[in-house]
Amino acid sequence: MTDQAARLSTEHLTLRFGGLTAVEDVTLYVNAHEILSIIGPNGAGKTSLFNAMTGIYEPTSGAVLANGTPIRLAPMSMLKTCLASVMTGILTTALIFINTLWEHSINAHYVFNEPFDWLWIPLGIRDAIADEPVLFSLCLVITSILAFFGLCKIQQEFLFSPAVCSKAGLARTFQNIRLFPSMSVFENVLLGIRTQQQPSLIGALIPFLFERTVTATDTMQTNKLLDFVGLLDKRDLSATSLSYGERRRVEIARALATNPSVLLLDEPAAGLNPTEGRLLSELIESIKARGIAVVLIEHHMKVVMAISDRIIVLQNGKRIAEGSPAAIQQNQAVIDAYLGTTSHTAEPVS
Amino acid sequence: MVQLTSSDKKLLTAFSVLLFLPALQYIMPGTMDALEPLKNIFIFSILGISLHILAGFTGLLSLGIAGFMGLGSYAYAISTSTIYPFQLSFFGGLIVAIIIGSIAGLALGLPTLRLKGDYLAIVTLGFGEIVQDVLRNLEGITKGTQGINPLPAPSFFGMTITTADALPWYYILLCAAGLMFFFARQIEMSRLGRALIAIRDDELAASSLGFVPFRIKTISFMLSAALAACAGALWASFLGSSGEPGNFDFNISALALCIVIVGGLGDLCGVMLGSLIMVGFNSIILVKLAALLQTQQGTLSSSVFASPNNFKYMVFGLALVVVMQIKYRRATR
Repeated sequence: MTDQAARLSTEHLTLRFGGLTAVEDVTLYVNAHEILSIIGPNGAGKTSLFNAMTGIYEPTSGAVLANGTPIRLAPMSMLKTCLASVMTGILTTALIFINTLWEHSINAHYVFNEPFDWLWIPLGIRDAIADEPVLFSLCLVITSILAFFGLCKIQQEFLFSPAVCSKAGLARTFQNIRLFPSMSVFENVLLGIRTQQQPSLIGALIPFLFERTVTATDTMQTNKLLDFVGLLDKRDLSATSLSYGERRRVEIARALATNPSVLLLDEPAAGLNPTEGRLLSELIESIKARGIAVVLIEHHMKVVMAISDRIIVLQNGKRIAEGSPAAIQQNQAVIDAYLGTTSHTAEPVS
Repeated sequence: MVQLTSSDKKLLTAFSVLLFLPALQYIMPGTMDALEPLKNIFIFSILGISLHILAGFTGLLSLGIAGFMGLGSYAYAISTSTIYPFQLSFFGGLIVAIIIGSIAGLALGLPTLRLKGDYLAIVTLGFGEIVQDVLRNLEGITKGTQGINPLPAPSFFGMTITTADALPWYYILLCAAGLMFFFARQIEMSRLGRALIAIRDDELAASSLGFVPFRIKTISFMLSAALAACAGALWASFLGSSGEPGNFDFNISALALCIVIVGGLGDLCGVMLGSLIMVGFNSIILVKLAALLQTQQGTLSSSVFASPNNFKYMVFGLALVVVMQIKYRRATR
């Protein structure tokens, strides 16, 4: 089913919330230059599938693969997180132990106006451990417990999270538009640029003398993306002042700014008028032409049937059909489950 | 090259006015001492900026900022005092205080940053109280309630400045506050600052763009703690004493919160204005009012309102309520 060249694929992906199975054993793939649509009645698990693929929920079982390799953290980052945990442990011990340490290093050796000697610290640690072995071992136990919980927290944040999925080349939009309300259109899109490297404090302070806000290449890329979605003239407006369709476009531009290999769109045509819907279809076609794989959740059948290369139908979390738009329209299981008894597909289903 | 925008020019104007403000004291008749309250305003504006990075940019409410200030003050005192072997210079002590502050911020941030809103506020409130108790009870290191004093007068480039010199301290604190202001401004305009604001606006959207909220929140927590510690170190150096642990109580944190909120949450220039209003009220108007009430009544009255110190927190609270009301109305309109 999945071949190695697939930009994004899932293998037997299952997502459970307690007793409820939202997504059950879904295997799918999407290639470059391809639009894959996921349709299904309300509550079929489409958005849950998206959330499981983009790291918002961790799948109960199964795997998500980007370019044929499972999405996970680079070994270097793993090493860093382990190191951070150990450092937290040492720091905690030092904090609990500080009084004893101080007594045996500073108070024991300091003669007024004599200079500080770094040798006092190892001597102090030795004497302090010899003096209070019980307290020290207690500190170590508390430390290891804290370090364990710290590591769990770090793992949870870094191992399979939206950020890691974004790094693997996945970008998504949301069903209910999630723009940053306090920023302009330009800033919203700008935030997606260069997210492969995390912003750092040093990075923030080094440009102090050279530049104020953004590099010229960042600005150029952002403008190019805004031009691509046709909103370059509205770049300085507040994101909240745009119309619904325009906000959709900004969100798509922001997702494209992360330079993804797969773009996941969650109901992009919802709430759009026919003209806006047609423009959106054209936009999605041109994203496909850029070589980006597109995964689309949509209720708007006109859009789905017009632009999809393949369609997957979900019902109650299970995949019930897969095929070309024409094949799906003829599929009896789909007609029964989703479209009702008529085979008329032109009307949007909501 | 640095491009000056119109807001930059306004800020430079304000800075140059402050630069020549001490001259006013010698020109104007009377015995008004303007430098003393201004020094407090500068210190608290640094504290305000530190809370602003956390509450204004990242949207995390901290009520334990005084704890970090206390840590910074004691770290500076321990590393410069003659009763301890380190005996660093002013800048050495400042750097130690900033490092200790950021480590403390990291240590508090790592386990607590999964909390949100009110819960984080409660944890940080507890942290502020714990710091006071630790400083009070760790007598071997912090000298308990008496604090570490006197601290040696710091010297800059061969010039020793004692606590009695008002004018040099005015300029040192002015420069420190100005530096911190531009530091915070630079952060705000950098990628890091935009990431902080993105996390405040919508954490899920920011994380799906590739930002790790945990990491960015930790950085902002560390940054805020470092700035608060820096404010504490400056405070200790111009007082010539670490102060006693009770100086870093909840009232300081509440004052910092008042400064940030009165200045309009999320606006850096507002923080400076907020510290001017709140600390100015605290150390100019209240002092004058107290003196006035003293002369009016002659003797100490039994009324609660006889001394402004009794009702100043009521005024702070009123300021918070009024500003929140106005901001709330503006936001919903």
